[in-house]
Amino acid sequence: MEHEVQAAPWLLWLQNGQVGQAMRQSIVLYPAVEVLHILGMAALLGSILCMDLRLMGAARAISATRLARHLLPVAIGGFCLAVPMGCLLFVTEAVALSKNPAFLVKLGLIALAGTNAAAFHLGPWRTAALWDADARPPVAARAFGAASVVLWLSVVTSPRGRNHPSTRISQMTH
Amino acid sequence: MARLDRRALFLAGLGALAFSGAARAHHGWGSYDADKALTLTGTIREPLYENPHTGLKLETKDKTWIVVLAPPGRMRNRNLTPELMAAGKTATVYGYPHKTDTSELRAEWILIDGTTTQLR
Repeated sequence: MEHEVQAAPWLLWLQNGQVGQAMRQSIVLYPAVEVLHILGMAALLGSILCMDLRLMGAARAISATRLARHLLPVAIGGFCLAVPMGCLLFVTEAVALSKNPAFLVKLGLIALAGTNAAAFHLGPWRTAALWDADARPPVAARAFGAASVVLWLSVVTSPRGRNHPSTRISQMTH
Repeated sequence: MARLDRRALFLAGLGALAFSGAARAHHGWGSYDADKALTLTGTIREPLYENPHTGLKLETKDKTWIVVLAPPGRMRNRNLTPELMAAGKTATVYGYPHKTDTSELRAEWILIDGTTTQLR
């Protein structure tokens, strides 16, 4: 266990707490959390991609602001499911994941995608009334839409990295 | 859609594909070398029966391998209980070494006490 002791205390506390133990040892819990995590991501990605396509100039007959009113709650709901479930998956292997470059890249991509969405809402989206329907969205809106597609797809496809039992087994012995 | 929009869509798709290439490099069986399949026999040390993957150390004559097995749910379904893969028992595994971590092997099947269990 010496290797584990080198990890940050809060990560050890997190991983070895009741939630982490249950996640690792229950046969049903981990797969169930995984399914909910993926469901959340599916809702998030599906709704965001539809909005992005609209921003990029597709389906101009549909009012952009009305479409957003329909899709944004779905995206936020998906996010609110995917994030806590992702946190549970993190707790399962907190020590290894915190040192896993692929996982840190994934977190960075989530931050970038979130920043992109926030910047869009504070920027080009404010003029949405001007190009709400039957008009080509401005370059800025199309660019934010395209960036959103790339970023969110990257978030979902980026691997959480390799920390299979080898990490935990070796942690226990070194 | 205007031509420019189609082009933007195409570029976005390309970008996404490029990123997703990285995903395949890391996940599942892809990081193990199927061309160098090995059969190892040794003594089970430190079996770990946990999510997301079970595993054990296999002490062979030459070296000690870290053997990655299936998730515990699949192990239970196939009657590979924690009792069956207890420390000190002899096991034979057939599997593929990790492409970069030379001490790790992902097992296709494992033989303990005369019972072979498929793990994929």
